Amino acid sequence: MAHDHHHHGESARDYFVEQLLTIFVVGALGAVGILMYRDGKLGYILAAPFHLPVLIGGIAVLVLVAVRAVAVWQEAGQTHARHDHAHHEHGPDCDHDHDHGPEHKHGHPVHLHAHDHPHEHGPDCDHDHGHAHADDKHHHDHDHGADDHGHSHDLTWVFARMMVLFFPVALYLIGVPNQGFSADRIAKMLTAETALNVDVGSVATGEGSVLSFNDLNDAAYDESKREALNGTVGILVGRFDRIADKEFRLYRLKMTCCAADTVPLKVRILTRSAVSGFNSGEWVKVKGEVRFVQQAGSAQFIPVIAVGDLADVQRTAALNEYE
Amino acid sequence: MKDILDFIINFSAVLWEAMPFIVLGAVVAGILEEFLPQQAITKFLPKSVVPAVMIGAALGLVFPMCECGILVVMRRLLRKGLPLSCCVAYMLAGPIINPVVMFSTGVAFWPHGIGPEVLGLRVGLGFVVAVVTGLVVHQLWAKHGTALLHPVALPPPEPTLPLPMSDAPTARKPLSKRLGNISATALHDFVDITVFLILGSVLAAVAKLYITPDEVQYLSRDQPYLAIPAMMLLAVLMCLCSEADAFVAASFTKLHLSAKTAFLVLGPMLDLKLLLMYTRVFRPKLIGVIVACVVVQVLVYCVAVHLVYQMNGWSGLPRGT
Repeated sequence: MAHDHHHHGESARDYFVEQLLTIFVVGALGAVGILMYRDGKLGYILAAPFHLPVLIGGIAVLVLVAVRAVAVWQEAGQTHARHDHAHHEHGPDCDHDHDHGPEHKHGHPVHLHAHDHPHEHGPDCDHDHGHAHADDKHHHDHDHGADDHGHSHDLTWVFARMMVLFFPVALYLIGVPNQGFSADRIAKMLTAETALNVDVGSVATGEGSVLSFNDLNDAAYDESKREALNGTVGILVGRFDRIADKEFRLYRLKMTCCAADTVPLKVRILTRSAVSGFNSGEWVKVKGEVRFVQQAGSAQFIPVIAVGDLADVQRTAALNEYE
Repeated sequence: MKDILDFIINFSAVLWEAMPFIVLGAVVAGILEEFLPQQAITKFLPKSVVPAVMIGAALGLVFPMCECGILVVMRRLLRKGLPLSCCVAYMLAGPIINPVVMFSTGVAFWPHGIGPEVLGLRVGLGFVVAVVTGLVVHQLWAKHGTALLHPVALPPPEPTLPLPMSDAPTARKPLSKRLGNISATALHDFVDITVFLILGSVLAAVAKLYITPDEVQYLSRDQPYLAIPAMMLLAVLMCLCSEADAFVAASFTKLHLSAKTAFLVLGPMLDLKLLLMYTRVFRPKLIGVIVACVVVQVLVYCVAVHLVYQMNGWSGLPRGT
């Protein structure tokens, strides 16, 4: 006989509890995506090109949930109507056949499971999934694990899954993430570097153009770009990190896709005289001559800005953490 | 406290970056499930083994499922008579060779300037690993037959009832019913995948607290052949969804491409949660063979990739690092 499940009593209740929990929790997750976009919180965790997809994803999830909610509402109505029909009182004269045979029809539609069908089953799911047995002896003679059907009506498993799904919603409700990485984390990313100890010599002067960390670091790996930038006067804004009396580095963080791929972009600053009065992590603007210094024992170049006058090293307003 | 906040940033970043791709994958899966008859696939399979397994490995292009959902579909196909070798090839390659995962892999690595290389290697090696494993499984099937399968995954005996869902002519469904089915499948897949994505993101975020790119970079530079097995182990432990793992791999910006490829090819084929799920389809013997085949192949191919890059003087690193 076909393997039949009846969403009957507790089973039907469990099914609808599962569906309602799914609708509620997944809907909340979609709403959080939209709210994070609206609040600007995505800026702490995602690069700008990924903000819009999160918004669209959140909206899509809400649409799916809404369609599913309507379907579950209709299923509930149909189940209720059939339940009313099937569970009428039986008087002594009641002579109709309830067919409690192998196919066991009891007012509720018979529900045949494949154990591997990937979509949810409503209580009036009307297709056969082909879980066929040659005879009734095999009826229910195998175990039903949590994953037997590609889904499960085991409420313990359902609650466990919903708790996991609710975790990002809970984080949003308590207001995190609400800032970038901690100073300790950034310090760990920066790693210690030794001083170059290069003589600054004469330094080119001029108005200077605004530079980006990305361009300078890209140029370090590209000879033609190095030649184009070498000797020009540039302005760079970043966060201060001391290396030696006359040497420090500016850095900004770069997020390619998300915060998990954050890397610090660093540019070395060399000065003629000792620099003082700046705290670690402070935002600083520097103007000087762009150079590329080859690292000892390596073919790799690192970008450097040589500063002739300490007046060209100034505190400045904070920019976005990420370049 | 600082560590917790840093953990939350890493966790949220991995999760929300992957979320739109999960939604897209779930909707596509829902539409395919509703409109594409499963029986149609078997009609196009050639009789000979190698082309059939190769088609099985490319089935993900038609059924774009990631590794969590693909097991359920694969078991269904297995029960409907698709050869085990094709099913295994589909199960292994499907989470890699499908439009959604290929797109997300490209998006993750494009800004690093190595998008085409990573995408090509991931798809190419994924295909080869899946086909070779499928052929090994075919040999095993010839010897042991259904003893390799869990009873739930066994095809029904010949003289039994038909499978009315796809074999019998079905009545035309109203649009509302179709939309309801699509949303049901999509939500089911979304929940299934997102649960494991969240767990994977937690593991990834914890790992990121203790592993900095610089540490892995040193491993890659000084002992490159250790970086490959290290990333393979990481792929097994992190249990990431194939739609999201490219973004995690891309975050290791200073890691050699060969180690990233090992992570990206092995992860969708083998991780802790998949190992548990495999037990609902295969007997331990077959699981052991599949695991051994996949691990050995990924290791060998990725070491070969590393050697090719080394011999040609290619950096194998993202542009600008």
